[in-house]
Amino acid sequence: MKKLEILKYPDERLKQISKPVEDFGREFKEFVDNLLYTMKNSPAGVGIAAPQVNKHIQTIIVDASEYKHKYNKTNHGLMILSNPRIIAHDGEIIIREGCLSVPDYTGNVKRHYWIKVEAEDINGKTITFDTEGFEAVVIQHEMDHLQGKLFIDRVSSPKDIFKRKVYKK
Amino acid sequence: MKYFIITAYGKDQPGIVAGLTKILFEKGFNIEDSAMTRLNNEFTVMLVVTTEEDISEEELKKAFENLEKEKQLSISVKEIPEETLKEKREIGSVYRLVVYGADKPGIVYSVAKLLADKNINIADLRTEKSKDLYVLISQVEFPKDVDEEVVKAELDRLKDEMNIDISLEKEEVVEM
Repeated sequence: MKKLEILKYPDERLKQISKPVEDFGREFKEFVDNLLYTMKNSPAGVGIAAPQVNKHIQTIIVDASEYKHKYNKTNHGLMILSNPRIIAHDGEIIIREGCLSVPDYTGNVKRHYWIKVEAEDINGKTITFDTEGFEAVVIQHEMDHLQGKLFIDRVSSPKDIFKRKVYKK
Repeated sequence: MKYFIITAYGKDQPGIVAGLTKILFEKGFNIEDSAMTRLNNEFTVMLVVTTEEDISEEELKKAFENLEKEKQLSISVKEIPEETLKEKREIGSVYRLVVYGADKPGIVYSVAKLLADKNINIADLRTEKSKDLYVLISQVEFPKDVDEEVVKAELDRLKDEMNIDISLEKEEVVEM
């Protein structure tokens, strides 16, 4: 396994729209292994999207199980999701988000509190689940990457975006 | 590299930001940080700018003279000494503080005094007033040795004393 290079804004490739995954064969699984390794070896490691490593397919990895956060009440552990779709949602939540691809800023972003997701698992089997709070936010953040969107696109006012230097300890 | 802080204000009208930034652009300045907003009917501008050029405070001030007259602005320019820029304070945690209640004298002062007494630094603060409701939103930096519970207890005391609402929440950043 190898750590893949993470694209950083203003790299135009972060703005590309990813294609659906159709072939869940060996090559795909090898890529997912490397993507997972890259996520696990990055600062927070709760989520990553394939286009962040310049592979424009609709695959995201999320693992909220090891992250302490006041909104992290339930989670599904490690999930490898391809072609994710939000088929229902409810409520609102605002979390301060940071992104491996936007290293200098963080932002308060409003997202759905509860979502119902349909996606393909690692073998291409369609699964459906619902989740809320922290895990729901991570999924929505990663899904945005598949559409070429960054959290900065979702920040509602200039007061909700922050230069990261403030947090250096 | 030279650093300057520029403040400007005057009656709100189109063209204030364009006028100021045209001069800075033409003189080869970079805007490093800025806050520009309208307070009631006055437009206010605060900028930290940098340049590689060897320009003095007076020369930069002079460059704004025509604009000052034309738009009736008050503009001040001050060079930031290099040692100030290198200063780094150690920050424990960042919190968001929201205070609101019926408007009365002393809301901002009583909150700010409580923070200052605890050596808590205000990084950002805004207030809004609409009819009788007063709202203060602030980002504050706790030093490492300040106990959140102690501050919360004091804010609770102030809350009862002033009959206002106060919430303090830690800013947690999630890396995704």
